[in-house]
Amino acid sequence: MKIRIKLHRWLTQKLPVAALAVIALPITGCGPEDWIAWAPDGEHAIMKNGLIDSAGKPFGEALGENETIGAWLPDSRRALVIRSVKAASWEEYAALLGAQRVTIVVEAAGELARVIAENQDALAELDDTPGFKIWRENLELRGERAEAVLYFLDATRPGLLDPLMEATAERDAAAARKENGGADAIAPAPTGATIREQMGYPEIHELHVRTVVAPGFSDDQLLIRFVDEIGLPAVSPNGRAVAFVRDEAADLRLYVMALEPGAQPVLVQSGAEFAAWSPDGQELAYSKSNISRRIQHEKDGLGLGSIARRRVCTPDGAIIAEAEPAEDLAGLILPEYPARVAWLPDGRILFAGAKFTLPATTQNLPSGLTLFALRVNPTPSIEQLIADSVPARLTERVNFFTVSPDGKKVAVLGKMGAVSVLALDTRTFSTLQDSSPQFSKEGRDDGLLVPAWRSADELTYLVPAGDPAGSPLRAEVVVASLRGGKRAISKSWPDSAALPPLEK
Amino acid sequence: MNTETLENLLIDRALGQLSPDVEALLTEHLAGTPGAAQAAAELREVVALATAAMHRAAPKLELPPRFIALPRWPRARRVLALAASFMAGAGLAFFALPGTNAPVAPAVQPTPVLAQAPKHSPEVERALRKLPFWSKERAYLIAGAASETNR
Repeated sequence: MKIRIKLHRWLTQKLPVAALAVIALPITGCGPEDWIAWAPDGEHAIMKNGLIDSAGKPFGEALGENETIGAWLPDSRRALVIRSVKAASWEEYAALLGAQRVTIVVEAAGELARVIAENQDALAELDDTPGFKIWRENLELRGERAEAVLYFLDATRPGLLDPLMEATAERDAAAARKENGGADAIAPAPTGATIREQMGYPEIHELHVRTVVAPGFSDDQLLIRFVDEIGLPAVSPNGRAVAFVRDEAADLRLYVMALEPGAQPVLVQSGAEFAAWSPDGQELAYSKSNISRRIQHEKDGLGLGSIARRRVCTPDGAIIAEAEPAEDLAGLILPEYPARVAWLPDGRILFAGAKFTLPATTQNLPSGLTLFALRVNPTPSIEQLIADSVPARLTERVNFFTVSPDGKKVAVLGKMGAVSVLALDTRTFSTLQDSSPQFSKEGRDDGLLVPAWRSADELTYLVPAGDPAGSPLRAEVVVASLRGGKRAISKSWPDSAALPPLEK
Repeated sequence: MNTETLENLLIDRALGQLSPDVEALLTEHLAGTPGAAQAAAELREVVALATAAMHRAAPKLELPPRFIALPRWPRARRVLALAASFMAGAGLAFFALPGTNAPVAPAVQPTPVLAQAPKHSPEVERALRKLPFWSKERAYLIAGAASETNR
């Protein structure tokens, strides 16, 4: 896996870290994670590695290694499962890629083969050659990934890439030996064949509807397959449609699709990154970036974006084939990817952003985020929901806010595991847990978990070791009632429960 | 001008419901009619007393037109109605405004409205809905609409 990433990085040189790391939820990053999602009825929860019941005990079969559960359906029995599988052949992969993208890949493969042939004597430094740089820029302009080009070359011209792979691996091994003071503790550079074996083939990403809560009964329906990663699925209130983000080579794109086999996705918006359904299930509110998040990341620029809405379903829940034009509702400085939105039952749209006035001096750049409510009717307006007097440490990660099932409260993650709840009707900001140094390593928040609502009055979050409801030696996961009291549900979980903060 | 019409106008003026033109005509009439001027002074006194009692002027209500045009109530009922409106205003102010008698404020600040969309003509609204937020065309359109309004 590491080699695959290394090779990919070497060939692209511009790995879209933010987009890839967060869209692909299983890829762990430094940011907080949505690690648990309770079913609408609160009886079961999905985690990375399986299901638990309300007491925290494992329930049913664990998910496969390359599976994640994306979202519950309203019936609390079925869930959307995202599954990644290796492509069996180039033909299978190309069929999903589509004719237009295949043409780009084939042309780019021919150009890369020519660049390799012209630089046989300097394969280890191929990435520094003008020919390779031009090739890479052209590929980006045409909106395709190097991964697909490599796959095509490997499938149609076996052995062509071996010298390149071996030269690259040898270069990296030499650099590692140098860093190690010449010690030869580093494994020898792998051969091209070994690299290919480890690299495998590009993945195909599938969306399934699976019955997960039904003792003795299992049902799985494959909805659709993509060569691009998919993530952040949001199921419509009536359970008939799903909105999801697809990480296409050109950009992130938001799609909506009927939840039935054979349904075709309908593009909602390019550049959109997080969607929420309107209470009536007819519209989507979403955040989108003004320019590609990848470009922002490369340029180290603050991202300008907007909150928009678009009607995508009829009143009876059917997908509109040609959706009405989208409408931008507000502009903002985007928080880190993905910029969340939530559509409340009272019609307001929540989002996090920075409060900022231009022009400004270089010392006046926004230092923190806060939470806003966008009221669309009768007159559009934006309210700041959290008072400026609330200490910044309690709202540092407010962009990972989560709304309670009844739409009346918002859980806010702060610095080093602080957890607070904002009551939307009274605007009271109550802190359930303040920051803890246990959740910081070298001054940096590490492996934080986003609080998750079990019900309108119960919130799940991580408490530090020594918490009265937890354990003396390790952090635990608790379900806290807003009326008072909390109970640990993770005491029987092993330290290796895929939750880094649980380690002693 | 007959007595009933005059009383209606005086009450309307006390409630701040007269247009500037009508108010100017009424002032001119009162200057030449000492009895009417005295009645007007009494009504003003009622308003002043009620205002002083509240430490604040009663909020001006946007009454529907049919109420403004309601004719010929007996004077006692009109005075009672006036007093009731002041009581209602005082009640609203008690709950809506901070003051010595207001309940203790919660430990959170009231939500500030950071941005409120200005009203545009339906044509401008329709055009704006089709434009991205970060577009020059939107900025030009809004600037043009503001320029038309201020002309």
